[in-house]
Amino acid sequence: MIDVTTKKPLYVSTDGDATPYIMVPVQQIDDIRALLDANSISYWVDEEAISVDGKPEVTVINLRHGVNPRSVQQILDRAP
Amino acid sequence: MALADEIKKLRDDSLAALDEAHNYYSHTKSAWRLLQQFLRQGRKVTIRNLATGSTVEEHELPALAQKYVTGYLTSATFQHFVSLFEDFVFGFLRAWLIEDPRSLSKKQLTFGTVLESSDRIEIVRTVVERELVDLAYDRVDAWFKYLEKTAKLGCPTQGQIEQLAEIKASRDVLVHNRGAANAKYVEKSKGFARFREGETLEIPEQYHRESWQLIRQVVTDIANAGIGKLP
Repeated sequence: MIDVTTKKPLYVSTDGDATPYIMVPVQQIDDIRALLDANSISYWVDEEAISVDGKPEVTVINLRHGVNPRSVQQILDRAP
Repeated sequence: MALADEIKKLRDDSLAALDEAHNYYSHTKSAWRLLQQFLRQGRKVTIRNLATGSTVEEHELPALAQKYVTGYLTSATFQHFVSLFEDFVFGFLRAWLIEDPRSLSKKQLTFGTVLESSDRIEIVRTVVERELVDLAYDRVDAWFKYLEKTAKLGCPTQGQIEQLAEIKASRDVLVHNRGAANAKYVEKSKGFARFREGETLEIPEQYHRESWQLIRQVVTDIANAGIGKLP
């Protein structure tokens, strides 16, 4: 799945021992949620959306404990 | 200060502190999220902690930001919500019992305590404090049984008490067991337990917010019911 604001693929950040997360434009959040729900992925979404310099708002999807970030990345990569 | 005014002040102060704590959570999280966005744009950042001597650079910061937001910040503010709630419940009971200490009339004191007290109110305060210190170590459902016996407010509901018991048990696991759910957590939480023994406790944002909302609601309900019972 492509980030419509950056035109780059969405990716799951897995740095260090932190909870894996995906930074996403708010305008795509419904599509991504539907995709994760359809694949029974447990997650929660930040309740803040941040816009910098008038650019599109961005929020964060946090993957729950035990979710395999690689399988989520594959799901994102396969999505149109 | 009249008891009704004292309870109003306690309610308003508690609600303001809860709002402030939630704003702190939201704004601090936003600051870290902003940093993550800036770093994605290729900004260079170095942060040196002069106390520990540690230095972190831009490639390390996204992971730290995520860990701080979903770990330390969420846990610390959640614990603070629970502390504010305890402070309210015991502040309410303290004010109520000092105003009407008849339910404590069978409590015993040493004559020395009486001699050391300057007046009747100081004696009453001493007895009330002892009573509440014992109660504070008891379970959440015991707090509310005591509140009902003392003030007969008819709130919070049994369902709310059970949810609050799980919230308090989560707080205890974070403070005393490094975030690992144990048998005590499962037992105290009853049907509301979110984790099994041995699992790592998580505080997802929705749970964090719902806990804050429940505490806010119960603070408001108890205070308003108390004020409503006073002449």
